[in-house]
Amino acid sequence: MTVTLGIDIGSISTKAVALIDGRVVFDSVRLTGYNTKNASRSILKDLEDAGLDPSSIENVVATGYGRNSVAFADKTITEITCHAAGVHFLAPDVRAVIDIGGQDSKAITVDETGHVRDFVMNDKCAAGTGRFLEVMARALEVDLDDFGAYSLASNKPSSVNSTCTVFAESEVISLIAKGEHRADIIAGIHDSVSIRVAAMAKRLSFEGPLMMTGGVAKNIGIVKALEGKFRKEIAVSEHAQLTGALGAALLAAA
Amino acid sequence: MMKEEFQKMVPILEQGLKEKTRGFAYFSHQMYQTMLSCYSEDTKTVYVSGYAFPTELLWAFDVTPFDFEVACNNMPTVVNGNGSSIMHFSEDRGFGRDICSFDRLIIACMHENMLPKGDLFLTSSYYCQGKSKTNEVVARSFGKESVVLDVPNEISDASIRYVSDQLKQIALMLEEITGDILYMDRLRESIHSSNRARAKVAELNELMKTKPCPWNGFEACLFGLGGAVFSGSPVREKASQVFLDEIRERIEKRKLRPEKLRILWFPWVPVQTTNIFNTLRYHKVSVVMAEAGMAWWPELDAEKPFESLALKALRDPHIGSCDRRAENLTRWAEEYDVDGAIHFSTPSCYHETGSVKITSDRLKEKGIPLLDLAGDMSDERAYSPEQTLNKITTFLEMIS
Repeated sequence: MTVTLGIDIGSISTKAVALIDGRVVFDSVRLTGYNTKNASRSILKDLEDAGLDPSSIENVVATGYGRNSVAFADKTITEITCHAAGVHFLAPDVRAVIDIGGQDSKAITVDETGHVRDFVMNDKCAAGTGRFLEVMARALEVDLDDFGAYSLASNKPSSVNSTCTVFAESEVISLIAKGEHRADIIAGIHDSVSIRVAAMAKRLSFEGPLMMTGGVAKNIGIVKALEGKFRKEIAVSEHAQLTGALGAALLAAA
Repeated sequence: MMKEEFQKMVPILEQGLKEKTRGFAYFSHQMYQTMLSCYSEDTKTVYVSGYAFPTELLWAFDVTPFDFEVACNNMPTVVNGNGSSIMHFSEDRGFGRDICSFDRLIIACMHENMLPKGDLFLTSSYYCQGKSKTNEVVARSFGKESVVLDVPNEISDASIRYVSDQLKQIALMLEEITGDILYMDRLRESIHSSNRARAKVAELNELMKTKPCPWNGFEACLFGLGGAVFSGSPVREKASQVFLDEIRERIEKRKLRPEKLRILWFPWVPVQTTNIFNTLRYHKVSVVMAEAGMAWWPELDAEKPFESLALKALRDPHIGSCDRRAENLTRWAEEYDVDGAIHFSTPSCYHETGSVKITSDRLKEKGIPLLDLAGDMSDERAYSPEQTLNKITTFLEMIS
């Protein structure tokens, strides 16, 4: 019996997946908070609470921006490599991945073995990321979890700039002042994120099924907006947020 | 501050050279000494960008070339990699951050009176337009005009004649500031010297195919860019020879760093403090080929000096179609058996960012992955260490 653990410490949330002989036996999602070391330690407590003995884990792979703060990790691997591995496990026919995380967005192409073929990431700016959506949700006084449903009710998305989070926020405030509907503004925000992410992803050439991972994949509005830009259906796993941690656990077992 | 830095560095390097002649120390010593001599009242100083001008013409006269870009962008190393602590002197005067950080540093040094007086200000139309505008700004501060060598895209008899005629005009300007005529024998000797140095650089290029790679491509790149100003002078010849001896010895005695991966790097090396070099070293990655360190130009014909120098300028990798450059990079990548290529992308280098897709596609056709690594040449504020580390590490995981 081989027990492996993958921990993905992102800027907003910390995710973990444990496998026994390649089977998922544990998962956890927590807010990362200020101290990434504490976030990783709290995963061990979650493991114990789930009835798993941390000392039985043979190999731990840490990923995400906080990967180097996981003191008990045997190895660190970047989240792009882990997402590719996780996606391959969930849907082996997928050849491209859009991962929108808290502070960055990435597009990854994957080969038939689950290895990264190519990737691109956003640069220097949080526009088009989870943090961008958080800021917009605050400005609109809407729970982020409701963003998807709101935007689907829109018939006429507003025009929102996607160059900069701060500028976009001021645009949103001005749209509110103009009396535009929340649903239209939210749909406009999703459109602006999808334009930015699709333009980045199209720097890679890919064919075949496309999957979205990361916490933002839970937002149906973004998924639909991206489907419009790519003119194809985007698969979203119920484990979207855990994909990086899953890949880390798989690579820990490899 | 700049002059004082040169004054400080020259004896330090001299001391080191007494113990053992090393290529980079020799080249750096000559560079600092030459720049320092530009502050002397007796020196006829010619501002120029050595990497984008056929400097062989200058060495045929009693003038001292001052590579203003190299000199000013040496300054971040003086302030622990924080180029912005100097750059703000230009930003405070309205030179915004969308201007290349290299140029902001030059203008800052100008405003802080760090630069030597210039007698002639030469620049060229190729590589980038920013440097020619900056050259003009600096020239104005000394009450002079900036002279631009205009090098067109196509290579033809007409374009060779067009560029060589301009070089002849520049020779007349050099005659005027020195009060001496151009001796053709001296120009021919400058060209012979340049050819001898070129042959050594070509040999160095060949040695870098050795596995593990015996020379750090970043050093080759810095020598290619910073050393270009000495093309036509014995310094370039000797520096190339010292590097050759050093690298041959390294190969002979197997003093080679362990190598897991081999990469091609282009076009520039950042001069600010970054985590790039340590990351690559940690992962045992050799930069085996840096575009700027290659002997890309043809041997010059001393019997047709002006035409030959014109052709050298016209053959510059950054002139002409993107395809020509992409073909060169792809051929080199194959010859040096690299696992991948890294393009260090500076936002204001539009000639780079605009052509990288073509290069990337061409490399990928040959199965060579490319990482487009966004950064900045000398402004640490426009550089994200965490993003860079993540991108490089992912890329290395991908090509391993």
